[in-house]
Amino acid sequence: MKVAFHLFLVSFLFSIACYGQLRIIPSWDNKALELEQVYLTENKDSISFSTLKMYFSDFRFREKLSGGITEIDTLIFYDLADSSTHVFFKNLEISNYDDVSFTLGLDSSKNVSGELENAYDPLLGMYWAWNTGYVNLKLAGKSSLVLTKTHDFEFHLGGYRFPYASAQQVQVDLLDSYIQFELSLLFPDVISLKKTHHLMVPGKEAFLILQGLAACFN
Amino acid sequence: MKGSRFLLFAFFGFSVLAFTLKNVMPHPFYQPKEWPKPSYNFKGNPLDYEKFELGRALFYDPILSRDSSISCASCHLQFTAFAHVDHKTSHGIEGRIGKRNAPGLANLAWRKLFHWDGGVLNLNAQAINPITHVAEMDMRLDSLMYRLDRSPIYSAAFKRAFGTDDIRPFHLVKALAQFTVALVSANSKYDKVKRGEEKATFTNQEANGLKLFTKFCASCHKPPFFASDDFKSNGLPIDLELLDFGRMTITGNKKDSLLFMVPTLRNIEYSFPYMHDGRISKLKDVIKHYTLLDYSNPLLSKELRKNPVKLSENEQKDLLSFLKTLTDKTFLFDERFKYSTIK
Repeated sequence: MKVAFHLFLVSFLFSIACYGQLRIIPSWDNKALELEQVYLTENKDSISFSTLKMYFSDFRFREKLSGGITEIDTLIFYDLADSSTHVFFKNLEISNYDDVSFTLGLDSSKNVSGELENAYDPLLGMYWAWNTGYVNLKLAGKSSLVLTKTHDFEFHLGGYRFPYASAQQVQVDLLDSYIQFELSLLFPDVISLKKTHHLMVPGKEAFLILQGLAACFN
Repeated sequence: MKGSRFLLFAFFGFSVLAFTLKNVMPHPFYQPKEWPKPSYNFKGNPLDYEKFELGRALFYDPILSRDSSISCASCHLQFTAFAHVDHKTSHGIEGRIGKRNAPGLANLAWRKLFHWDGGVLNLNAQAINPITHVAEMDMRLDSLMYRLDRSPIYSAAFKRAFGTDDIRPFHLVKALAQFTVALVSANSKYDKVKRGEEKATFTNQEANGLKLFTKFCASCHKPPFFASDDFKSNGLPIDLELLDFGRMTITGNKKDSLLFMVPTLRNIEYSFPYMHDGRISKLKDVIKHYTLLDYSNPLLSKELRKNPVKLSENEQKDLLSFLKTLTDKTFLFDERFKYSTIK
């Protein structure tokens, strides 16, 4: 396992041509996650992913020397299927910072802003038309854990209304210029695909899953 | 030579006309005196006649639906107060039937919430719902952008209005909102009497109707819009086929079960059928509904429980007579809101 992680790390470091940028790297067992690749859960159940889309916002970087905070209040859209969305803050010197905190998803003010441009563009497939707002994170795929004909699972996780405002705060140390998002931690403790394999509405379930997802960063 | 000179003059004349239209023709939106400030964010979509004309053409064009059979106007007809006359719930492509009665469109600039359940928070975004809803236009936004982009008429019109070669959903919904925000209805007999216009007076029956309205109805249907952004139960039991729980669908809160937004009563005479699912077809029967309610029902709105609607047969007629004074024929037949295509 350790060897695999180091291989992942080295290949990743090689892949970064430009110093001073931030990447979010979804992973499975410490290897970069690939869409449609079949993985095994801890209990040897098969799982693959067809969609992973999410929003990040309100970044706060803590400087190494001064301890000062650099705030970047922007909305970032991430789509695992689109490599152009994988790198953020190309002009920021990440090595100058100790840690970063950010929001996984959007807060209520962004949800109701009425913006429909750039990261808010409904064409990105994250806009909830029936209940104004945005999905914080979309996750879909197939798993032998899903006991239906197609074995499909699909989660549209969002909602900004009290008491289930589902955007989550995340804080991670910036040991490198990437943040790992380890999805194997989700199954079966956070998401039990035998019980729930489709979720498209805000509420307690979406809130709890997003809480679990937030704990998968680094 | 003569021909080419004529063409040159024609081109010059057309350009001058187009320039004049854009710069001289006023956008139809206006702020009636004594009305509060609109909620609509005009800074995000400044009034522009060219965009209004584009939005108007789009409103009437079935190009927005997947099989090009349904336009916004299919369920929102001008002469019936932009509601869907004689249809209980909205119709979509391929004869699909929706769950809710298409509401009338008027004075949308002053609304903060949209749809019977208040699930939509701004006028721009509202248009995405009927366009993408499977029971209405069932159109994918990316397919629609492609369709508009490939249309020589629309690609040129979006270029003129927004200066873009890349039509995005926000261009589309802003154009549509330029049209829908313009739908101001403030010239009914009621408005004329309120303004103290010469010869504008209520009959005795209408005046008595206004008193009854103020006593029993105005706490929810608040003038000058005769609506509110509140959600209320008016005692209608759930339709077991539609299973529409109203506001609860949005909030997930059981307390919001069967609450629906208070609709406008402006032009109510023409926007039949009534209620969120169109179950009552005549206005007089809507009034009767309130007189026959079980006021001990704890789920009924507090306004109704505190002040049960008690009306004699004659008083019901008086109230009906007043409600008809909210009809604004200038609005219903305004040439600027009629069917139009891109010129």
